[in-house]
Amino acid sequence: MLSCKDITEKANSYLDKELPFYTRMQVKLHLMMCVHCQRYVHQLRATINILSKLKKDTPVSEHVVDDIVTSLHQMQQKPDKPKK
Amino acid sequence: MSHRSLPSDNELIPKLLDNDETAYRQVVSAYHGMMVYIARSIVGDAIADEVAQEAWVAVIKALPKFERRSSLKTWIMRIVSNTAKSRLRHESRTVNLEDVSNDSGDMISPNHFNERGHWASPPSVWHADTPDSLLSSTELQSVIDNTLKQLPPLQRTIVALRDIQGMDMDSICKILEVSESNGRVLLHRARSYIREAIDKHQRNLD
Repeated sequence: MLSCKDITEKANSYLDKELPFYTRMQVKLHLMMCVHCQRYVHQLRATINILSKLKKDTPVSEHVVDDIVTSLHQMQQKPDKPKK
Repeated sequence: MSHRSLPSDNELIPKLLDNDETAYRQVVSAYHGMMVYIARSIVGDAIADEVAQEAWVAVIKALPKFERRSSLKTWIMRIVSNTAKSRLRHESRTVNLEDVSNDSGDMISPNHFNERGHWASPPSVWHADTPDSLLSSTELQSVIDNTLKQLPPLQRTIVALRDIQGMDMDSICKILEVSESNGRVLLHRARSYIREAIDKHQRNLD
């Protein structure tokens, strides 16, 4: 029988569906009987969902792109002089 | 951050090797945002742009030796990750990318359990428990931002790429050069730590 501490150790893998069948069933069984662990797993799921709703990208301005493209292009146009 | 009109790697790579300005523009427009994001997760805001630009130079220089064992995107992201990691090591020689002082290896503080592993201090009932209602609190948003900042660099980067960006674990582990199992442990610790921070915040509302 898994303890509540065991459930907190396995909760992420449970939510990511990475547990082997038997362990998954053991977790499910524990969750049916333990309101605190149900709350823990529910909160962990909410945490993951919150993270998925956070701002995703850093907009890149055109002039930054221009600067990088220009410097890369110039860098490759002036290859190092071959060593004698 | 995805770029719909980006040609395939097979088309792009020869053009990049040929110093084609249009191809440079396509890859920089498509990937620079994600590169800055990864750099920022590892080294912080101040030098993230600089690290991403340094990584572009490394990408173009190393491209003739690119063996195509991963996609161009994953390879570029690995270069920015390595540039950021070596910068971090250089700036602070004592820094440990994975560990953190609060990291005992437990997903949750052992004080929460009794000697039989049952809850001694159970999770609190949250005042709001849907992601949207929780996120409507600006105070909670700053709790999450600060908690992300407190995480060790690799944990922060993994949770950001996996849960915020929705990237698959396989690519993340290749980019950050960590094993799948190690990557998973770091992800789980980061999430558990963030849940605990939200829990603390909710308890303080009582």
